[in-house]
Amino acid sequence: MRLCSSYTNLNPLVLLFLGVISIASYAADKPKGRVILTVSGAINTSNSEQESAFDLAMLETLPQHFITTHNPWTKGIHTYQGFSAADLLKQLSSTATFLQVTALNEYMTEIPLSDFTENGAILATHLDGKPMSVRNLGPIMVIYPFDEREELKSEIFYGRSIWQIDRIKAIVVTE
Amino acid sequence: MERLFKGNTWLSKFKLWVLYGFIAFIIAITIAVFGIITYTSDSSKNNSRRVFESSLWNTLQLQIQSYRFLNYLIALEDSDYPLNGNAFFEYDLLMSRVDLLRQGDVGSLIRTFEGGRTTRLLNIINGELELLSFNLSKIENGDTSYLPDLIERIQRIEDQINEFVTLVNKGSNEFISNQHRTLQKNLDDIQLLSMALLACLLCLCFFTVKGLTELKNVIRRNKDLKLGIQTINEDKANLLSFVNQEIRSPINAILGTAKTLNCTTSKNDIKVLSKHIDESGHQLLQTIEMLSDLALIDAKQLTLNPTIEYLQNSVEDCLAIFEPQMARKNLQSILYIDPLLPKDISLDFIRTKEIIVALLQNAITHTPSGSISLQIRPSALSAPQMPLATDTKEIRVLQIALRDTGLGMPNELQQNLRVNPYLPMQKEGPLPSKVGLSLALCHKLVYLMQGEMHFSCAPQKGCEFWVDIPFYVPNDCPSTKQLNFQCPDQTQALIIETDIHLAKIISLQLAAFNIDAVISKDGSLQEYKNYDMVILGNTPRFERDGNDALQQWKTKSCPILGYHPQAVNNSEYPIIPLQFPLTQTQLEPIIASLFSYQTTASQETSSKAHKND
Repeated sequence: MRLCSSYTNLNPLVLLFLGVISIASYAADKPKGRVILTVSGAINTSNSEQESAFDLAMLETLPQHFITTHNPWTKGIHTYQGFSAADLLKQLSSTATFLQVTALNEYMTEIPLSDFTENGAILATHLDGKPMSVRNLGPIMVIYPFDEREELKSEIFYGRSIWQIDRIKAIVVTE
Repeated sequence: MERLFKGNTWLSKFKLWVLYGFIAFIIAITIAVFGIITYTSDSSKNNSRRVFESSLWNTLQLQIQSYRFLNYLIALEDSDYPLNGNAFFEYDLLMSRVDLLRQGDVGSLIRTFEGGRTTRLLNIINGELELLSFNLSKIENGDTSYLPDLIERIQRIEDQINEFVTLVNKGSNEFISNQHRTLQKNLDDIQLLSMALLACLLCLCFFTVKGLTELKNVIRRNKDLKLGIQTINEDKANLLSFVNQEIRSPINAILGTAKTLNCTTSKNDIKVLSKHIDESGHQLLQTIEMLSDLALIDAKQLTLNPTIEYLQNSVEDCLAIFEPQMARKNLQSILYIDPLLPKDISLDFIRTKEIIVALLQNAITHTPSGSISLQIRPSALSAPQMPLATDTKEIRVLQIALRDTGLGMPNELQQNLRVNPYLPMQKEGPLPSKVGLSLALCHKLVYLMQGEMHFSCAPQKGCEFWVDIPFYVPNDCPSTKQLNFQCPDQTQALIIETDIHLAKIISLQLAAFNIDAVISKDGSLQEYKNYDMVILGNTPRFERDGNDALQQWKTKSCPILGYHPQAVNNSEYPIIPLQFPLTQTQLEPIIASLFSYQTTASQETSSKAHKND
């Protein structure tokens, strides 16, 4: 009852301001090139229907991180370049703590956000300075700094190293 | 174990090396266990299930992706053109799986399957798929005439992909089985080594505990030895002070007497003083000899020298040494040597004399008045096992029994003297500082001669010592019987003596001469009875009834022997005086003179009777 009464007492100017903000939010940057990543779920900023789509150029505007490491799927040492999921979610004003990541072949895994903030994982878009093709496990791949931290060389983190990423769903898990 | 290795240096060294080897063995096993664990751990990381599962997963993904690609191509319709790279997108998805199977850990693993057949198959698949890219680019450009050929070629590859999946599945299963076998073998090795390590650790614990126990024993023994050394040093100091104390008295006596002698002109005094010097000198010599013997016994260097001597004379000589001393204290001494003992025996008489002297000296010290008796008799103990001396035929044991009617020894002295070195956990002998030089030497000599020493003491009643010493019977030993003078049968004597012990010894002495003795314990003179002989000893009744008794005995012509002072000095009726020490040697001529005619008469009567018969 009290809520209803407070809504009835809202100033029309405030309502107008909220409407403008909402429109601005909806009208966030839209991808100009081919969409390589779609983020949905617990996000507050979107450029499409309840989700945000990104092309490579948009993802390159995020702070870039580099990891040079060996991994079990390729020969030799490689340098991976990409962005942190924390920065992506921050841009999307998300408070999510888990990411449900789906690959092009519909393979899916869940990765806690702490892997990006604490374990130094990145969502790599470039391999040795070049954009990752689908054949080279691109366009996006989760990579951990395996050579820097021995504890990452385990089944858990190998399993979370998903490649050919297509979609991410942000999830808020409250304990 | 300690006893086993005691005295064997090489065994001790062997034991030490065994211990070192054992410790090295334990270290080696420990390193092996940890090495295997580390190896197993590393290999489990390197050859984890991930590689095995990834190879299977990616192979199946290759198959699925090939179906998806085929389906995509079959489902293409005219409306789908232009494809805008979608065909290449699907193609890349397929080729990425081929690449994954050819590279990385999965590729390395698959290369080992089926002798490389999988690799060859994968290369064929890869080559076939690479060749499709030309047809695909044509289709991307809108030329659909290449599509049926493309589909047909992909369908032809399917058989190879299926065979590849089968081979990878088989190879993966073999691989994981091998991994399990290796892991199980490593676990078995770890288990075996762990058991060995446990056993070794248990043994080490055992040796450690044993070593600690031995160390504890050694420390305790060391402590005991240190204490022993300290005790020996203390004993040495005590002995020196004891020696000083022992020799000081005779030396002072000699010096003092010599000084007096210088100022004396009287011949009689000179004689007396010279005798004193002589006595003190002998005493000093005796003390020095005792100390020397004691030191030799402690050093286990004293050897016994048995000689064949006349037993009675030797013992009487010992008693004679103390005659002046006992006379001064008015002590009455008596010696009885059992006629069952051989007259001549083989024995270390010098040491035996030291034993008797020590016992006598001790008895005189603790007896202010009364009597001291010395008996030498056969012992009830069996002879010890020892080799015979030269010119001897048998080993027997004699007992020296010395009894006094003195005050008895102090308890502390008794406790210190009750040491039997034959018993376990006992000292080798009493300390001279505790029991006196003479008794300490006596004790050690007795046990050195393989004898035994026992004593009994009662306060105010005196002490009795029993010393058993083995001796040798010489080859030419005369018969033990019929050596003393023998009175006629039924010769009876009255012994008037209130000192019952003295009286019993006198009766034993008389028995040796075939005289039955009746003892008047209460000292009553019993003059109204008839006896062949009367021995008048200590009796308080002599003052009152003495003269009447003497008269009665005179009337009956009864010979009287005595040592009662008043009786001896009685001029009205002379009695045969007896001197202390009272010995069989002293009695024999007296008794022989008194009863020899009777013996002759009885022998004659006996021979006549034989003739008449």
